[in-house]
Amino acid sequence: MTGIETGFAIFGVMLVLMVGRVPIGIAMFIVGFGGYLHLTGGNVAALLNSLKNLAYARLSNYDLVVIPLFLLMGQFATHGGLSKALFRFVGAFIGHRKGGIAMAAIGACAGFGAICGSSVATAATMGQVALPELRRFGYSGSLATGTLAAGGTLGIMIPPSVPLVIYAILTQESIGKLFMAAVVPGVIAMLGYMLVVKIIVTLKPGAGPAGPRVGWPERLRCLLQVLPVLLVFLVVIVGIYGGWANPTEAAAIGAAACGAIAIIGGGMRGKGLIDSALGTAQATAMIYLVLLGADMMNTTLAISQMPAELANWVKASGLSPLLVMAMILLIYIFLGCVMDALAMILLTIPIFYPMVMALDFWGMSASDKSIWFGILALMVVEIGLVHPPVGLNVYIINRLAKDVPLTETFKGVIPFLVSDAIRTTLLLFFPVISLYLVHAFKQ
Amino acid sequence: MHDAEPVEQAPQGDGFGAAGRFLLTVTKNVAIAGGLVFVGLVAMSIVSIVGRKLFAWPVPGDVELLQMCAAFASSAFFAYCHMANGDVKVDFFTHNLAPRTVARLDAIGSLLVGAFGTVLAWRTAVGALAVHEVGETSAVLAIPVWIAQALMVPGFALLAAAGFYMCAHRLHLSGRVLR
Repeated sequence: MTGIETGFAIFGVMLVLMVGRVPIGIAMFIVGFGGYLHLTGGNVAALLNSLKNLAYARLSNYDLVVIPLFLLMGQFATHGGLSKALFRFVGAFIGHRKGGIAMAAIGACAGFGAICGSSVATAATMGQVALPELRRFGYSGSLATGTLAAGGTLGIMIPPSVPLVIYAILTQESIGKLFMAAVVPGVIAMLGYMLVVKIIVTLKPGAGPAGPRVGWPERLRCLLQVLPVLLVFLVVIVGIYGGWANPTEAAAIGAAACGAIAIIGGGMRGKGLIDSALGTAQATAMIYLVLLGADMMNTTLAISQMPAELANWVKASGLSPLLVMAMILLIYIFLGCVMDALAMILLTIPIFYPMVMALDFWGMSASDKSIWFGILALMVVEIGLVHPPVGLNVYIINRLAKDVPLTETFKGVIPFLVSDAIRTTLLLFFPVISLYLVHAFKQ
Repeated sequence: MHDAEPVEQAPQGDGFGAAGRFLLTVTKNVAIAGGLVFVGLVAMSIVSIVGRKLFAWPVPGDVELLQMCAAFASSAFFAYCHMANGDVKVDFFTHNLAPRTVARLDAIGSLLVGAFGTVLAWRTAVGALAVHEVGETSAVLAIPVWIAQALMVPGFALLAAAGFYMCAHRLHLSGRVLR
């Protein structure tokens, strides 16, 4: 078999295992294991030898430690009541407009995304805070739940972002640059979602009534309560990008700051700490298991040379680079029907990255191309969290809103998906949106 | 592809026997201990960063301590995640199947998890012994690296136990409760 054939066989068997409910990380490990034996002609000794260091090499990776630290930071932020403060803050400024409370929920999701690297956690946390308020003011079920499911995706779009960390580790790209590049697209996503709410309430004024107007003294009080969030975000992003803290240190600072906020402001005590530790443990194990499996599979894919052969083939085929990129993005959207964001990144980046790097996009430099593709990939894997049939965020929000049927929530999400599609197209054709800040603040 | 969300706990210990409840308690406490190690690492990092910026005196060997502790603390997370049904898996194609069939498929999945845990525990132990023989130590504090590696073995052994237990448990479920 050629490398490409072996590569495809690996993917085929893996998909069968996954469909049969084998945990994704284990499915990747098994095909990596089997593929390795096949490619080395049954060299068991070499395989066993390479496994000796697999777990330690991966789990002691200094950059990777940011993942549990960011997850811990998100746990603390949840216990610290910051979600409530953020929602009140944005609501105090725009809640009196038509649809204002839904917009406030989106703004608060973005704010929470700035201290939390996970979409699911953002959706769940903000949902608990904002959903009762939205319903109290008489927002329609589809608008309220659609807003929160879509808003939750801001959790990974606005840095820190766990999928971007994984992308950075797989491609040896700078975490700081990727985070910086994600800021403007993340803000555009937030504004786009707010615009969607605005359009919906203009067309159907009954869907999103205005809330009460809030005076300036109260607004300033709310601002004071969210200052810590702003501070943590700035320390993490500017610290990493400015080069005076590496990503792991910045994540530690962020976690410590959110921990302090949770203890002082949120009244977190022993039980909260233990819950945070356990939540971090589970979320980390979920990611790391997939990561260990991906390591085994990627070793085998590298031996098969399938990624390089496929990249050469695509390059030699003379297909237009933009067409190839569009196809890659579409594949992500289809994969998003059955898989979660991290599994998609781990599964596809080893294949797609060499392909993208081999193609020419408007003469972009290699480092620009790699950052631009990282942001594009992040945007499309995020869409998988909200589109039917499995959109995880949709289920989480729907479970919180017991009176809203699932079909209503999916209907509510569709306008936000249109905004996602427009934004992704913009980012595809105008790489400068992602790269502007990276270039403007050269390290 | 349901990853159990960090905020809301996945249903735990569904129909577990005494052995299962014991294993769940053990894995849960081990996971909490691992999580608290990370809380400790955060504290150490803060002391080190403040020390370095203000007094040009970081915690000696902070990077290697972080790496070693992170490795064995993370290995403590896996078993609990499996016991709490936290694995990332694709459930889109099987959600219309009979619960009994799903339980059987999950039993196979758990068996494979058990095998994975066994292989990693075994190979990591062999790896730790090899490093011990070479006598490799960390650069600053001269801590023997094999210790950190050896501390990962119990985590993977526990994962193996969790996988095999869950396999038996799910077969039991598919045979009795869901008939």
